[in-house]
Amino acid sequence: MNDLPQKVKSWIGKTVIKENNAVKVQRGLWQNFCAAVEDGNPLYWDDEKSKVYTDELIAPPAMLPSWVVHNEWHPNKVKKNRPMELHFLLKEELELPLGIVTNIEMKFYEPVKEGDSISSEQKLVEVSGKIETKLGPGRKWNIEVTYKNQRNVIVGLQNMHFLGYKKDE
Amino acid sequence: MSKINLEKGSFLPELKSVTSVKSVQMGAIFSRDWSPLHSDQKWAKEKGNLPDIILNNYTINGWISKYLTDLLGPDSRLGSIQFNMKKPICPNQTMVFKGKITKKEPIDSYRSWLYIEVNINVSDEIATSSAVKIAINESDEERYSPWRLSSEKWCP
Repeated sequence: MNDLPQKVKSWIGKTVIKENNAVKVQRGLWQNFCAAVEDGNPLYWDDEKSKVYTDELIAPPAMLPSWVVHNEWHPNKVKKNRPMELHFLLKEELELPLGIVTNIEMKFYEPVKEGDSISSEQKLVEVSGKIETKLGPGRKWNIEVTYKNQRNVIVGLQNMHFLGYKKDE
Repeated sequence: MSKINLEKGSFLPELKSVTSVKSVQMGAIFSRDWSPLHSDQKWAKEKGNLPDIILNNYTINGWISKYLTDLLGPDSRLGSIQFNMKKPICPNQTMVFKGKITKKEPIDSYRSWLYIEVNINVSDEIATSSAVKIAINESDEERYSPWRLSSEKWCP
């Protein structure tokens, strides 16, 4: 796309952001989420029943991206990346302050368990030309994320399609 | 193993759930999604150009997973999910989950892949459409659970 800023062009096809060890995987955190979606799967809740299938409790797959999201506040006041940092960088570079996810694909490999530390790599696949949408003028982009555990084993792959836009003036 | 019909073309039982401001916020915060689109009603309306706060994608994924594993049991194993958010899902809306098995293929002699279309309807319109690939145990023996497949044989 010739109308893209040079910086954005240089990102296409490359891993731009790496994240690691934002938060250790913990049952208390995932069980809060399970309560929000009313998911009583014993693999997430019941130590004894989970032994039958997964040897121990596992985290719900839907939460996989959550494990690389930093808290917004930290006692050391170290500036951390925002969730899906590459998406935010694109919004800034393209001057599109608003963004929503339109399409997601996830594949799940090794289950995530308590105490795991998950890392991720965000790669920019493509960015569209300028488009008009119901929400306002914008662009679409596509980011691939690879998630690994502390043993460098792939636990999931994610392909996210975004719409960045701004309000009509 | 569940007793519902798991052959190609079968429809799964529906699930209904009503969203609330609290449930949308809980889904976002507990999935560590800090965007105000999902937690701040004033921000969503005034700055997000949206009718209200909206269910975030992790929560939608969580609901679809819950819908299927509630029906198929804990030894079913989610392989992949692709979903398309066509319309925002806001508080005080009734989500109706509908599933249809579009394909079934063997993994080995004991396990199969189910390909399932799951739609979340709101006010009789599709708000989210999804395509899910999930593995099930076709035997009566726990040792053949898809969770017991080696990583080499697990190809989602």
